[in-house]
Amino acid sequence: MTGSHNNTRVLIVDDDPLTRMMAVEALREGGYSTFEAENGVQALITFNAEHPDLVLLDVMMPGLSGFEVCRRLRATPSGELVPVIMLTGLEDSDSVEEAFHVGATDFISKPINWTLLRFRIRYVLRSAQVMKELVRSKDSLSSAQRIARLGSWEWFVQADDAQRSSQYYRLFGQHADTFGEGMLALIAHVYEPDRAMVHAALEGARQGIGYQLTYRVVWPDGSVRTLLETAERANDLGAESLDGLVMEGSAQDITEQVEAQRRIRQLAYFDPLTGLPNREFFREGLLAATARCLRNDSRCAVMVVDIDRFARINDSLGPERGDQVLQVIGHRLRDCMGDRTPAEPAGGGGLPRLKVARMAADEFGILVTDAGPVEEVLAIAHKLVQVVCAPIRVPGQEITLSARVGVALMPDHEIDADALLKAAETALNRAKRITRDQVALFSEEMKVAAFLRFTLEGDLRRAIGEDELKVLYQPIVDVNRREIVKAEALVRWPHVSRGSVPPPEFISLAEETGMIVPLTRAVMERVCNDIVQLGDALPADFRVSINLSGVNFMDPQLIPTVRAVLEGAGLQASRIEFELTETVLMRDLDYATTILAQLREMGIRVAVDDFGTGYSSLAYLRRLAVDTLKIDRSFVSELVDGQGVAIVRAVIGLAHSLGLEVVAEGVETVAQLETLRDQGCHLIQGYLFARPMSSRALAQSLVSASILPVDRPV
Amino acid sequence: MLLGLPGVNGKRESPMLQRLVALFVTETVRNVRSLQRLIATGDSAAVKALVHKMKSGCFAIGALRLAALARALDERMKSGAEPTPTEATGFAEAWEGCRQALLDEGLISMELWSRVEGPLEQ
Repeated sequence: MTGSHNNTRVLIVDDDPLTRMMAVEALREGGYSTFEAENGVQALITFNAEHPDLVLLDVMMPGLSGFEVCRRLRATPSGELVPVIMLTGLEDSDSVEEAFHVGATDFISKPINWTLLRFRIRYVLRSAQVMKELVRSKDSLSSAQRIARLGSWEWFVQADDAQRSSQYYRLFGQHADTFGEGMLALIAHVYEPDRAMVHAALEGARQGIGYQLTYRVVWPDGSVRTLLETAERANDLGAESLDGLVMEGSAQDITEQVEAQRRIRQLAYFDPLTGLPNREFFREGLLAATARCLRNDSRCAVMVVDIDRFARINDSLGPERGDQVLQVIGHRLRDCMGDRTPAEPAGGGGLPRLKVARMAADEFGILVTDAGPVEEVLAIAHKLVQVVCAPIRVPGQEITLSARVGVALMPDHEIDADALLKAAETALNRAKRITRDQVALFSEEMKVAAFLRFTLEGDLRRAIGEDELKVLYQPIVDVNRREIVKAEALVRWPHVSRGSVPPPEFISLAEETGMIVPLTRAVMERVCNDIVQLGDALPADFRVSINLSGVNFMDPQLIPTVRAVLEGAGLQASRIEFELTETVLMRDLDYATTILAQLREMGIRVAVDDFGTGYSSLAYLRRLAVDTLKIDRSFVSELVDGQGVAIVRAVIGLAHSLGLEVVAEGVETVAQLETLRDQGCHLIQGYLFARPMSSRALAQSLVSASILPVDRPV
Repeated sequence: MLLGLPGVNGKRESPMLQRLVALFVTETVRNVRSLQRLIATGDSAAVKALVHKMKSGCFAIGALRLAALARALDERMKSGAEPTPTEATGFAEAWEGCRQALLDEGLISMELWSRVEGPLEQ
């Protein structure tokens, strides 16, 4: 016998030292290493200490017999599988029988044929190795199945004998004894809507047809989980015969994967607030729709619905109410469009054909496939406006909104999905900014206008950089003192090639693009320099007010910028007043309070512009460090009847009760002036006295007092 | 037979053979003496265990007469019989023969012999 078994260690247990000596020698020659024990107790101790690979165990020993030692070995985890060869008497068949019963692996009878023993050991060790690998493989299969939550089964179809792994039962929250017998016992655990499908698959399997199926199961605690099951034929019986058919299958719990996929889809494609598809989903739906239109030579329409001044709902009622309102609108739009796709489709499946999506905060997208003539599409758009405008009841309140819709058609306006959406948005923007129409159909002219606006953006950037913007001053007159006491700085843009650009046009452009920040800084610098240049020509307490937009106000660099500009010009802060609309101030009251306090500390006064048009609250005004209220020109222009007068009187009364200065804007007639003066407002701004003018002209007006109207007895 | 034992491989001068024979002699001297005593005192259980042990050891080394006696007694006792003084004497005679054979073969030296305990008939 050759070959080395260096790593194989054998425990020899025999009370006869002669046998032990011979065995040790025989195994040493075979290349094994050995341990000896002369009785059963010592054998167990040595076994536990050395963990040998094989035990040669004599049957008859004083004290613990070999049988007992074997039995005890088998009862321990490390001894459960170790090969044990028992040494029995030659004709001792009783011992051989007993050895088998106590779990011996093999036996060899005495007197021992040592050569044979060495072969026997090799055979036994090989079997043990195979056994060990089998057990390991079974263990790892079992734990792999457990980890993968994978259960398996075999179905002996004719006998309807279904053999299921213990892990398979666990996939149903069941045990072997609670699951039920036979293959169809499965059905009872399947979620009701999926039963017919599973049943059909099993009927196919009965005919030897495999399947792969995703179905849901109901656990005893009522929870529902999703399984993926695959089944195929275990044996090939030839084409015709189904005798002896065995099907085998495996099932896996994919609940988490399905849920994760659903979450991913949900996050990627749906708006969490309304449950509606989001802009991305809308784009994809639109891509598919435009492709279909091209194929079928049909048309589709895109509409973008925008809620007018939605921000004020959030501002005045709080964001929670605002969210509720959006949910209501989303629901109504879906209803109106007959959109029955579930807001949150469960499970996988393709994207449903969408109709309504939430594109942005207060903007909804509508897709009309197989659209009719333009008039029909516009009729739908008008219906949508009505739907949004119907009163919305929120606790304690009824809200009425207005909306605008931009409409574009394919192939009439564009044939590319993105361009089509862009066209609808262009139409909407035009309606919002210029025409104020409720429904705007895209036109080529709009495209041109949108393009002009785009080029204007570049021009404005250049104009700010190259100091093309002009600042004019409109005087504010104290009619009691008959003096110009303040002026409002107004920015103008004499465009080199397009002539004067209307301020609302370029200011809104600047606000949208963020250029308002450098623009306002440029205005501040100009105003400060002008005041310094005019020097003594201005009274010491003469102030110039500068408009700040919402973007300026929220700019974290506002205060540092103001300080830097004042320092750069060497001007006192008391010469400057900022005008802010009440909407801007009310948007974030805590923030406004902080900023206004800082401005007041610097000595800069603050006026509330366009007062009366937004949602002012007396309590808020009291909290904010403001100095002046400016009555909006719309109230002044309505000073023709008792009601108009009453409103202005109320505003003036409110201002005075808060100790605020009141300025009336847009005063154009003597009648308006007189009414305002009668109501106690003596600071007047408007064409009646003066149009906006250059700083030089302002200085002259201050001296000549030529702009004052004819006096009348007070 | 002895020469076919593990570690011997046909070599008379093999150290393994000398160790085996020495162990066999020592063990057998003690076992035969114990057997005589146990049979005389009638300790059947101990006799049974001892003959079982001797049986395999003697077979293994090739002491066939001793092994045959041990087996015969083992078998008889299994069927309930008691050992007899004659059998004790038989073991002593068999061992004497075995000893003589080992001496004749030169597998055992007088020196070893004198190291082992004194004469059996003591």
